[in-house]
Amino acid sequence: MTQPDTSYHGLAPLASAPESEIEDDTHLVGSKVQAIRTGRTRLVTVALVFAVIFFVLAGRLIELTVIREPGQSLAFTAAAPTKSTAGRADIVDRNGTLLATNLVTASLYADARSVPDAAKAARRVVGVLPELSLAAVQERLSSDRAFVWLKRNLTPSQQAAVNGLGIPGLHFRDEQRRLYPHGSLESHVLGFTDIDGNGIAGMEKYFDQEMRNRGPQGQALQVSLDVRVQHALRDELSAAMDRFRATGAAGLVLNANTGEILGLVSLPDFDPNHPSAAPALARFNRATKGVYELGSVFKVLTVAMALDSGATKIRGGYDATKPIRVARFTIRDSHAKKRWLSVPEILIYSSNIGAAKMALDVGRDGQRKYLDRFGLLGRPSLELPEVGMPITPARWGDISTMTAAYGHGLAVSPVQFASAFAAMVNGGVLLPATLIKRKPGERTVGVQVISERTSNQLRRLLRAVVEKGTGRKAQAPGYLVGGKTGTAEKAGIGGYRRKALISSFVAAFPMTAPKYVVYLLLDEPQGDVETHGYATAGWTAAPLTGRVISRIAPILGVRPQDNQAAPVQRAMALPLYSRVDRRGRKIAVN
Amino acid sequence: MRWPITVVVLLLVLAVSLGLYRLESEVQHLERDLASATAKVEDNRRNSRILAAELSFLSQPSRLQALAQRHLALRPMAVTQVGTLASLPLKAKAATDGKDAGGKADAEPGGAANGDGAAKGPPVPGWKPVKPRRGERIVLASSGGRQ
Repeated sequence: MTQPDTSYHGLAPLASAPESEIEDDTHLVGSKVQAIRTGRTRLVTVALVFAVIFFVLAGRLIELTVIREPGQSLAFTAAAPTKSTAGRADIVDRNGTLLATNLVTASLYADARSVPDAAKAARRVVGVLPELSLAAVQERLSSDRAFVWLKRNLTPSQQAAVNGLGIPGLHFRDEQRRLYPHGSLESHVLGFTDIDGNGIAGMEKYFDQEMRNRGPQGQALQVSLDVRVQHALRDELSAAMDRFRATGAAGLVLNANTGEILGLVSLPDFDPNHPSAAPALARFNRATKGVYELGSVFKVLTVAMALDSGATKIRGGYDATKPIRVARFTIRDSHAKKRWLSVPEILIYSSNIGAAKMALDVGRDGQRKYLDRFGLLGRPSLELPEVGMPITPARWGDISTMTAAYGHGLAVSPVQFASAFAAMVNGGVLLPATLIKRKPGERTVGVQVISERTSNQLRRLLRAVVEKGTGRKAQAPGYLVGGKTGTAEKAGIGGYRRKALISSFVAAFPMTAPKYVVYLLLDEPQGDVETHGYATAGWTAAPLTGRVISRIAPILGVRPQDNQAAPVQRAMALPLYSRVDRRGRKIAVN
Repeated sequence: MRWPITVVVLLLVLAVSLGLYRLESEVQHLERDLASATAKVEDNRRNSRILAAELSFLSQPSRLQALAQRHLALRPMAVTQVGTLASLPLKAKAATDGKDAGGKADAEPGGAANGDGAAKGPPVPGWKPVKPRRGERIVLASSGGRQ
């Protein structure tokens, strides 16, 4: 009884109990024999099934090892780039020049317990990293701690040198580091990140999430800047800032037909690789965050709205004989002609009186409607967190209307004004300024803010300002510059400060079909001997604009045109519509 | 009957273990290869990033400007130095004689601005100068006098 019982549980007893033995066991009862037979059949079946499975497995094994080519890798996807969680996408300019990147740098640390001879090791480490102090390194190496930093963010050659020393106990740890190869050149556009790679200013902040999502291997963010233009702009602005001892400067170059910003500079600036080293003032973006009363450059807008609304015609004019006295204010001209001035003359001689009267003709509501349409009463849209909100008059009465006509009592940011100016000359279409490169063929949707006819008249007017008016020094031969000066007194305690000026110049070129807008601004420039002590825009910002345009126009591929050529002359023709008396003298109206 | 089965099974076990061993070692080998290849790819990727950053650093406009001012006699381009290909005087007959005129004109960058087609194309690098025939003067440019 016991033996057959155990035989049900294993193969071995079955193998040692052959058929004949059971057959011979005649004293066994028939039912028992039956049971053993059934069990045997079942075991054989199971064994067969196992055998088949083993053969299949063996076959597969042979196929994998012997028959299969080793080149056919099963783990084909294993070589895909390792997705680093910490890291940001690169930033490139419109031509693909690298502006910001993430580098993996090695940082040197030591396991001080396994450094055999601290004094000797310290000497050798300082030998290849001379910026470290010998005493400090020696102290750290003999500290008996398992982890001491020796130096963060080594260059590859420094790393190789340390490796070459072969000192046991020195190790490297990889760290991500944001690098801006051009230093301060694009600082105000790019912004910067903190040590953990969080964008905390500029585009780094605005596109923070986007850049993390893309990761360091992802597609780079392509901005609209052109590094060459940016450099020319910064170079000229900083030279002018030094020369005129200005406290600050801002400038931008805008594509008049797409709204792309090709250059944006705010001085003083900072090195985004070491942002904390710069004073807070240097991190202030004057071009987008700062709002200023911009002065006479606003007369362009006043003339535009007067012509567009039909309040006056290009042949019309205003009496600018006497200063306007309203309440306790006096509006006077700095280049006073003391006579009747036509609309072109008002712009050319930058007459405050004329502009103020013109604005009154447009009316308070008309002026507000137009300024709002030009995007000057709200916060402009731009891909930067540092965007300033304009300051508008608290009570918009007739006085505000008159002062806003020549750019006082209303403070806007330079980028906002440049966009509005682009609309004045590009055929009347206001395009939002952007710092992202537009794709080729991308259609830019703008708003028609003034008629094409008015825009055409303004081009001639602005060209005349540079040819014969206050902007004569902004000439850039061959590039048909047109523009307007703006000198504003900065508001101080108890009124405006006569000596603290914002001198700016807004220009577009070539004036026959404007492609680019340049707006440059100097904060509190001081006149020098060459400018006869004047710090006004005509003496400071205007020549600066001429130089900038001469430098950037060839880069931007603008073809020089002959000023005297007949088609150019025809396109820019503009009578002054001065009134003359019978003896040919320009007359004053009393 | 039992012995042959045992032998066959033993042989099979032997063969299978051998196969398994081979597979295992091959997989280990491949894994080592893969690891080193991945490390190399990562290394190259890292190095190319460093090189890109270095290139951008070295080609900073301010640096290039300083170097150019120190070492080169180049100045910013003046308006008078800009011309159009179309404004260049044509060389009489010379262009039609040039046997590779068609091929070269396609590659020239200003070809489109010229607009006159390949045959009248101005001299571009790669063209051989045409020898003047007797009594004929070759005029390269006539705008030199206007300054």
